[in-house]
Amino acid sequence: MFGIILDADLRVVPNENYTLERVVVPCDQYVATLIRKTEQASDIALVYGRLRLTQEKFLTEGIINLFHRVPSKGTLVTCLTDPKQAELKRLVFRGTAGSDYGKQLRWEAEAHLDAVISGSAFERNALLYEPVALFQNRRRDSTDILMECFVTSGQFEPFLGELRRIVPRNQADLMNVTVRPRYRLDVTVCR
Amino acid sequence: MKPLRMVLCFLALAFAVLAILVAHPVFHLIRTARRDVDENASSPSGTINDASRLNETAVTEIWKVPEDQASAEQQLAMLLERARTLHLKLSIAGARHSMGGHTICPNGIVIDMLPFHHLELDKAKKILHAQAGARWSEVIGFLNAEGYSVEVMQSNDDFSIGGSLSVNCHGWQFNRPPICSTVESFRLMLAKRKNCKMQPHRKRRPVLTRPGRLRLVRDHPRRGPEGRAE
Repeated sequence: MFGIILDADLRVVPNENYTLERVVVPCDQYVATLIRKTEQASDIALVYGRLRLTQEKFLTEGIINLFHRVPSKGTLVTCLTDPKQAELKRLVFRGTAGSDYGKQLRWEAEAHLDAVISGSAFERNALLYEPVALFQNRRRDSTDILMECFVTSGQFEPFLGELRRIVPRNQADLMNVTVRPRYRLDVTVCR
Repeated sequence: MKPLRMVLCFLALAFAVLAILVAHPVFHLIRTARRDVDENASSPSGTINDASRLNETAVTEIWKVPEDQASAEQQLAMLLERARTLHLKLSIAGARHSMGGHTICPNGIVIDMLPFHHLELDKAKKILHAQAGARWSEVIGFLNAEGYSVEVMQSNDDFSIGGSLSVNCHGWQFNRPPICSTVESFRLMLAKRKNCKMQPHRKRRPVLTRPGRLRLVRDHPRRGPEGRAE
């Protein structure tokens, strides 16, 4: 053991309001679209993507979610509540396990219905205030495995091409793919 | 056909179409809900598990860090001394989402950092002082009341500050490097009981072959012979 972290001083930012822009794109245009969208706008605060996991169009479509800052006049102090539609979100996610229909339902919900159900206005703290326990597998007869892969933007589509081949061949049940851009850190490692 | 009957027929048809459209997803979600049984059970006495539920391990002791800072640091130092003397193995645990046994040492002592979770905000400098056992859910609730938010964190809030720093987690904040980029400093109790304050060392120009590093500084500046801080 090297040592025990006792406490830390971390920089904080103001809480903010965002509007969500959802873009459904073919996976082979995912990276180019993400670059174009983020270069066009200087007000993007949060970004993530999801990929389609249905047997039909497996890993060939994605949704890019871009949260744009809404200019604020003052300090944003609101009441923090538990995640909206938490139980429904859980059921939609858990329903993808072992079910192609469940995966279809989740894709349609995220790509088309979410704008109607959740709207497009969000608050930063409310977005961050979501536990992973909400989606946790609670059954004893199975375990969800989380795996993170770091892929350069140029290798994104070839990497997906391999996944399209390998995952079905091994009968793996891919429940979720979230895509996030990564940025280099020039300050790290203690010695 | 009478107008009333026409309206009824139309309503019946509309209802039938709606029922067909809604029936499948509703049935699917009801079936999911029925299968979604909570079978999580607490670990037997003398054992502990991590979030994977795949690492149930026998341990000698699960030691909770006191909330009070002075007591916590004093007792942690004593625990480190005892572990060194008796050759006991120690592991450090927060939310226990660093899986694969990282937070549990077989037959060792698990240090549960979660009670060590005090938070303070310096609004003028926009700096949050957080003890390592605080979870992001506590941090967000605390900052939200002041109109502030976390600069970089994971997409979920279950994890502890200490665990997040240990793995240098990345977030989903656009154009932002991992959490270490938001650290002004952190304090570390070394295995030899010495407390150190760590601060990031930033290079003027990024050098690919030699990434930045953290500079080790003393918690309390030592006075030199001429009274200057060294």
